[in-house]
Amino acid sequence: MEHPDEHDRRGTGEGEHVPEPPDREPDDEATQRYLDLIRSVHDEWTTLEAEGDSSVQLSATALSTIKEAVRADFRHGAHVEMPPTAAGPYTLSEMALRTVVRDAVDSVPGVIALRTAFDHGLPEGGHRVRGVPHRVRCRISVSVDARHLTGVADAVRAAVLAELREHLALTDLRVDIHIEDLHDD
Amino acid sequence: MPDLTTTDERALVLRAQDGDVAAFEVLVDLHQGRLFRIAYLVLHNRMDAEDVVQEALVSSWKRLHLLEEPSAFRAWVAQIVSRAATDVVRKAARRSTEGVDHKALEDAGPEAVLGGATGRNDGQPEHAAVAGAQMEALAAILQSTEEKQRTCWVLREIDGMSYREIAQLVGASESTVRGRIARARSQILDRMKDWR
Repeated sequence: MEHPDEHDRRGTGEGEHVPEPPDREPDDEATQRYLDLIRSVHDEWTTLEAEGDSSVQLSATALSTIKEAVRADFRHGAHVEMPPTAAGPYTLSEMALRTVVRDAVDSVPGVIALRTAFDHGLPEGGHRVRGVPHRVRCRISVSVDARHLTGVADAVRAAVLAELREHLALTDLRVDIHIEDLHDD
Repeated sequence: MPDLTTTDERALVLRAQDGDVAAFEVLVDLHQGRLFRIAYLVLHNRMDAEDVVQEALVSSWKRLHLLEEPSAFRAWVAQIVSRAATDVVRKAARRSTEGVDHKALEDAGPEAVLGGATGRNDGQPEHAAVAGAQMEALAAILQSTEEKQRTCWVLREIDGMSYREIAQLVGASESTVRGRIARARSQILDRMKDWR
């Protein structure tokens, strides 16, 4: 790892306009030893962490405790009304809806779902429920290898519409696609 | 389903904000090592450092929707950890000056040094054992620096934060932060003479 002051000294860091403190002359032997120490410390830690050495990172128990706590805290979000079925009305959680959309976006080759937002109609089931979605906004990342971004956007839109129609009987809605990032595969 | 382990961090944060737990777990795996080292070097106590990082990461999951710029995740989560670690040090210092544990500490003997800021490793040397020899040596040296200097130094040298970021985080001016880091460096340089 590069020491942050080495980065600054080359004039490429945000600290380029700020003079170095007098104790940091680059030709100072003690400073050089100090920089070597910091560098070797980072190298050692990177190596040990990559080897799974628990001395420089959380124990497996602590890591698993965090993940369990996060899963336990998973919020399902508001209830969202879906088109009523012959058997009666039904709702699903906002997070379940997001998961359906995310899976549909991810199913298109070279595309990664980022975030999704919904516009809802007026709810019929009271103020604690969101109405049937009538618009979906998908923020996505597309592979830099994709040649026709409009084609990719159309494919994502088609996949989302098909998934929502097939699994949730949502048919009357608009899907907006926003390509936010390009990524390397 | 994309391979989340190769997905860039900004995308992971956005997906986690969308409720994707698996994406957040990848972020945990990516950052836990450096966060642990920040906490350990401030606290010099493995158990306290693990507690601080656990609480900070769970808290960051709960507050993730508040993070407006996904690419700021790295600094944001480091800020949560360093603040929590600093709180632990300050609480321990308050307890110590109130004299509540003075007698117990005196009775505990020299091995209590292993306990770091809170002494929680007393009598449990296996918890204090740290195989990363350089980390242990650095952590020991850092204990002789004043807490504010130590925190600023760790954020700069261990986490690579800019002076401006540290100044915002600790609520001090940039020149104050530079001064604290310079003093910590100077002390470390002095102690390094014995170390080598």
